[in-house]
Amino acid sequence: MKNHEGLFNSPSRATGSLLPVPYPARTMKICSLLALFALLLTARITDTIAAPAPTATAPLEVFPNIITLESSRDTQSLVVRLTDKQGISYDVTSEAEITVADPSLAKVESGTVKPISDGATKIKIKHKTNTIEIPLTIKEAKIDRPISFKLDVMPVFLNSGCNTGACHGAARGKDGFRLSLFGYDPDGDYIRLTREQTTRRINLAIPEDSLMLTKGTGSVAHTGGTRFKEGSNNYKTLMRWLEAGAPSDPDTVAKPLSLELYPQQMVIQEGAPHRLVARAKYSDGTDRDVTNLCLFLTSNDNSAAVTPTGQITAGKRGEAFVMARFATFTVGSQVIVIPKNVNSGFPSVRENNYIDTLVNNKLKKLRITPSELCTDDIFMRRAYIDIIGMVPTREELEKFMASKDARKREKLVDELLNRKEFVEMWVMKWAELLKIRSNQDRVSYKAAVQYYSWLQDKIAKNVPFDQIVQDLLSATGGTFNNPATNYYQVDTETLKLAENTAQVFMGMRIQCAQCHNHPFDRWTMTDYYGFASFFTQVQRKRGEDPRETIVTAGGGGEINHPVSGKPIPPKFLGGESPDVSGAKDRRVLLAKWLASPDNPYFARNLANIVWAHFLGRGIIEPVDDVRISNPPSNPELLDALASHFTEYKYDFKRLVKDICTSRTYQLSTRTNPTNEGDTRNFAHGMVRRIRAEVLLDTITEVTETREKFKGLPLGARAVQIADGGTTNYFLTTFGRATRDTVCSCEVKMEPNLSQALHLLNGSTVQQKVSQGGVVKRMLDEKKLPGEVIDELYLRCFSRKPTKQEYDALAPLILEDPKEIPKVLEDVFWALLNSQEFIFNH
Amino acid sequence: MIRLQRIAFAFLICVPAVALAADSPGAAKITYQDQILPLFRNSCLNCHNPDKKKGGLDISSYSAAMAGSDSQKVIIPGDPDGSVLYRLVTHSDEPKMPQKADKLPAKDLDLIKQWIAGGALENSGSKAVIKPKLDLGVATPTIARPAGPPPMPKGLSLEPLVRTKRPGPLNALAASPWAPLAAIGGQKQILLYHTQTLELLGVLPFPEGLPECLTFSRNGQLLLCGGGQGAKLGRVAVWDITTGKRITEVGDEFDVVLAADISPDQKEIALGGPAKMLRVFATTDGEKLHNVKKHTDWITAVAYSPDGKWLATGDRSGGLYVWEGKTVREYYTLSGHKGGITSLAYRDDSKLLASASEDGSIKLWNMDGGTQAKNWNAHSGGVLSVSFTHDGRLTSAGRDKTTKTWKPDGAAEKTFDAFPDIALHTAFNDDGSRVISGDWSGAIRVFNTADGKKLGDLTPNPKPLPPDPSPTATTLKPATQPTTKPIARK
Repeated sequence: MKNHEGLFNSPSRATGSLLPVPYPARTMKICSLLALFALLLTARITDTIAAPAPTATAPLEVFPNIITLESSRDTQSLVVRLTDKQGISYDVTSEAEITVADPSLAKVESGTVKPISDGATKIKIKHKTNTIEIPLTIKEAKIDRPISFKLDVMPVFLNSGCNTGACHGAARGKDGFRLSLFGYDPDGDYIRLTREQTTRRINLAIPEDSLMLTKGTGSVAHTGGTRFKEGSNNYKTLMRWLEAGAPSDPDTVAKPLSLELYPQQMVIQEGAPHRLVARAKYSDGTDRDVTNLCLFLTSNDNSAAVTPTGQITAGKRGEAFVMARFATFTVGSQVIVIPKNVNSGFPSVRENNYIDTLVNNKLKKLRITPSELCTDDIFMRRAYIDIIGMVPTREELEKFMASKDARKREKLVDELLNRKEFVEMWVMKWAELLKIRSNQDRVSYKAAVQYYSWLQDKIAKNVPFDQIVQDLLSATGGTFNNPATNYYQVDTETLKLAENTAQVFMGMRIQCAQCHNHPFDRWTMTDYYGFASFFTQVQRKRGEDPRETIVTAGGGGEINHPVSGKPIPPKFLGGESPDVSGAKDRRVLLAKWLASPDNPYFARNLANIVWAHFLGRGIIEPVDDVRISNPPSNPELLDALASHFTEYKYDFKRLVKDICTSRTYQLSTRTNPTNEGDTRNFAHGMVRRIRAEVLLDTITEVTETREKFKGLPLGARAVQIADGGTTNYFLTTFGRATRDTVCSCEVKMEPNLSQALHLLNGSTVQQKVSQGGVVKRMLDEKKLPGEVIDELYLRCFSRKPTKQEYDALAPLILEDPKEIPKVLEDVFWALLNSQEFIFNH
Repeated sequence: MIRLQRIAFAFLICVPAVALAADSPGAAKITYQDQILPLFRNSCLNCHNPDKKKGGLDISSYSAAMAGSDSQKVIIPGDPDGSVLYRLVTHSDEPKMPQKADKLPAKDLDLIKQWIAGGALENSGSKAVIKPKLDLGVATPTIARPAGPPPMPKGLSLEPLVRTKRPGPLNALAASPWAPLAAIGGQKQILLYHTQTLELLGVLPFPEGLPECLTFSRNGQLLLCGGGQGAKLGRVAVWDITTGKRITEVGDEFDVVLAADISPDQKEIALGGPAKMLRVFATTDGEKLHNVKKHTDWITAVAYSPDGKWLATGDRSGGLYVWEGKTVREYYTLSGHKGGITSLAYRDDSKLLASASEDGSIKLWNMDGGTQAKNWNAHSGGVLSVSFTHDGRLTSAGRDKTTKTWKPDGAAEKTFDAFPDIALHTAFNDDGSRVISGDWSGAIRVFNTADGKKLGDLTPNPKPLPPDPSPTATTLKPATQPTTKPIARK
């Protein structure tokens, strides 16, 4: 993406497409249209990532670094890694010499440790001049652990891809056979496999004739083809289980408790291979090497492809997150791929606060140089649009530019944070997330407006956000008397309420776990229903006014797990199971936990939402899709923002101030060769289209016109619209949230053709230019055409025209004095249609 | 054939129009106008009125109520249990009515029952007209025993082809209708046992794979086995039970044959399986006579009626159809099962079809009209097998691991000791005095029908014979080449 200043200095501007003054209005519009298209095309940001710098680690490492073998069949594979001075790691497992100190206890075969006899010893790893030792303990080396359906057979289905959504994991199965998706219901799978079609799927008399084997190996017709080869580990496991009589597991069978993936971070060079090792820990204290049983996934095939056995091959320069899935766990490892020759070196830049330190730390690793600080006028326009949703007036601009105060930017931020427009911006943002809109069935217009007013009142009084959330979640009473109860009216289904709460306040989409364990996150169905269980006792009845609903909680109501059919007690998502026996209203417990430091996601999520508003991209993006497989681009930064936010007692203003006064926020959009490809590490200012409401307000502001929205006085701003159901062609075209869902994706910031056409030919711009009569009034005030042009530029761009722009405009003005008002109006129109105007840069 | 039909007819018990209690003086008549309409108005007419007509049913007038819904008649005068309306309001069938409301009070249900039982009268002037109801209690066999000694295996090889470490389940089971003989599907072989002495009488090789279904011809002379290898091969083989010769085979399926039957005249073999196609072959030359696409799921049960008039087929989604035996034209759609059909059996008089289903119920269907005659929950978790005696009693096996016997009207008789695993198949011996049943683990037991005692065990995995040095020991090689000898009865 070209930076914004660049656009203005680019050849396209020099040829006059930005200000195509020498042409009559119509031609001019066409030219601008083309220019806008050019912008729209270049606005697609390419998603490449700069190379990282290595972290300082020990030169030779082995993963895992403590090994315990617990039965005759237990083995452990190793990965030996060498890290050079640059921090680049190399997988040297095959070159390293791996020996067991006491060879009577264990042996090592191609990087895998196998037990011989009980005892404790060490494994020695030697690579060139480096050596390390790790402890090895062997227990029950002569005892074979009995084969288990859950521990041995179920992982085969995941690993072989049998129970994916496209195959037997589909809700209705595939070709008549169903397995639970990613194995969320092992007991059901056992029945389906062994007894459902009575004698079809397994044959205990002649195990090798079992359909599950002949289908799996593809030796008979199988839509899914060959999933494993005869004699492979997976085949052997299934065979062992069949030979043992296809036993089911006793209730005491160990449960997997966690999954570890090694190494957790690696910086490798393009083309280099690297192995991963995965180990699961069980409730009986044992662990197992599950590298061959995991399902490996990568977030970026181009940079790091991964084989089913956990072998990474570095591709092109970039960042990837390689995940391993086993049982209900998904864990990831960060892989950074850098070209063979990269230059390190980081300029000394000022760090205004902790934000800059943490952003720069990451940039140093990636060897990216941040952009320069943006100019005062650009900063002022950026801050105005972001903080209060307006553009500065000429007077404000001149005062700020004239100020010699070294802390004038900070002071400006303070000033803006105390304006009522700041409150309105955030009321609008939260109204979107809370889906404040009238709704034929459940929320009357009156209730929606009251709900909005309630929110506005809270934010205006700077009520800490945890308090607001607690009020919302534990609200009882009438939707008119206590508008916060509308939270329970915008959606009335228990499950939907739980999902929305998780998405809005924790940034998590747990919907998947309604029907099966989340495939790319840690949430199981038990987590889902445990969370939903907080909302099961919400009751509603009609108020005296038929438009009002009275929301109460308490009494009875449980939710059953769809697999076990048993009620699930309430459990915080990713937290404890609170004691609800004495609680009248479970939601109160939830509210207290949710909006508190006990909930690790709350502050992080809010901080991320705020960050995304000002920087154009969340540290986790999208902001409401927090999951293991979508890790933050800078976790340390996110944690710091969250902890500061918590420390500030959830006071928004202070967090916004931290962000807006950071150097990171004030970076120019002009890039340098190292950061031009960066999109997620905040190395340069991001060019962002102004969101629908703010754009309309800004056009209205600079043209001195007034808009009328339903329920608001003439001249009100679009930002102030209370009811999300209000429609307006301009706002809809520019992607205003309809507030139908809680998804952050509702606000559409992507430019599109109808937006361009609407600005060019639609009623809004043309009408407002003539309606507002700005040009006419200025001319009436006997202002010179040059002064009018200055004024228009200051209004729209917060800057004066450049000399080139003057030169281009001058001949037009001079051509025909009678046409001057018309020409100036056309100039105004052109400015409003320019990229510089509709983008915040 | 004609002779047979005549005999069958002779045994039909015709029930004349009954003079009902409601008609007798003294008892108050229950009529649609007087008692039932007010009751319907309270609970049913909000949906089942001429405007909404939910499910195509309007019961706001007598004629509309009697006309029934889109798919069927809902009231059968004189037969409350056969009336869909009554079954739904008593919640013995789904969808439960009234929907989203409490069950009707017992006295109202009782009123509806009495009204239907009394002939579903319209008003006090109406006279009950009740169709002769099918009698479930057939007491004597309706098919004559074939003349001559019952066919028994003679001098068949007793050497098992396959001996495995584990027995494997009871894959298939059939008992000869006239001889003390049971056929058991083992691994790539069929074992013939004497049902009185429990001796092994012969081993029939089935190298195609697993026997999935076994059935004797009506005269007990032929044994038919359908089966094969999953996702690879499906075939039906027919043996002469006396000689042990494989006399024909039909079908060339790409997956196992799950169900097959031979027509009583032995001219046709019908089969079905995962291909969802009902195929009928001529036994004479193996020509495919019919290839019917109707079932939407795997065909799991196929049965000809003893008179050859009907062919019933069931599938894994609960689809149950009755076809004309000869033409294989669709005749009845028997809807009611909520789970897959697992087994079908005709009563000897061909008037009644029993269906077993994964929904846990056994249903009896009246072949005169294709209506449900009886329905009861037999095995929780699913019924896997059902079959009749000559005198109309039933035996069933299911996922509750038990085998049960039932009186001809469906009343429970005996529940035998549970198996270690799900009970897969069950059958009566020729005279109905014994029940042979087996489970998933391979346990096969013979019970005494009268007192429920276990009489002995059979195995699907017999031991190899001790080596016999005598050169006269006869072994019968598996018939690899099918013969084309016509086996149709003259």
